[in-house]
Amino acid sequence: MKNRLKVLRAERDWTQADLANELDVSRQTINAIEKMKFDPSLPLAFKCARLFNMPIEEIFSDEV
Amino acid sequence: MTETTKERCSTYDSRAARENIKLVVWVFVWTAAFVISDKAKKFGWWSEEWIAIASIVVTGALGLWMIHCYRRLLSSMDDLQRKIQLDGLSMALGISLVGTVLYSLLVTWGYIVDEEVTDIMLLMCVSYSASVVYGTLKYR
Repeated sequence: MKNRLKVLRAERDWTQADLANELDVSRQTINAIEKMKFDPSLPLAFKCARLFNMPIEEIFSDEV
Repeated sequence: MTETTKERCSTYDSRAARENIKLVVWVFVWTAAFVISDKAKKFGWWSEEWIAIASIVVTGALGLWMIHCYRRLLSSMDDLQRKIQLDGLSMALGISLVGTVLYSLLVTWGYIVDEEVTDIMLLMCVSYSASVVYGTLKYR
């Protein structure tokens, strides 16, 4: 699953640690999601959507 | 980032660290209780039966509390950390199962004469730890 987390984070000038703290997860988790090594759960994806104020499908896409 | 966000900074890490420390402490206490109870029997530190039974009950109770602490640690973790733990646990279970069967065969055929249940426990701990370390490095 592809995602735009890195781009959205960079636009806000946030570090991985900043985003991790916003989402209440570890920095390792953010890194793994950004590198597409790990797909987030639905609740975490919703949290991301709420944080960036965007629909989930604009952050995560099903493309490989 | 807002001030509120900064206040929340490292909330996850500090919570995970706190639960980790609690678990380590209780693992240590449980292990100590087990070792004391085991050595007491071997070296005859106490002979009264009620003390022996009490030490077994205490070791069991501490073990249950340790499991409770581990469950709390798991529930405090995020998705990825839980996945790493699940991988570690499944690896430990699989290796222990296969290892126990092989071990019993080695005992049956006489290649191991001094069998100890702690050998299986050690195998379980090593496979769990190795898998968790591997998972942590994989998703680093």
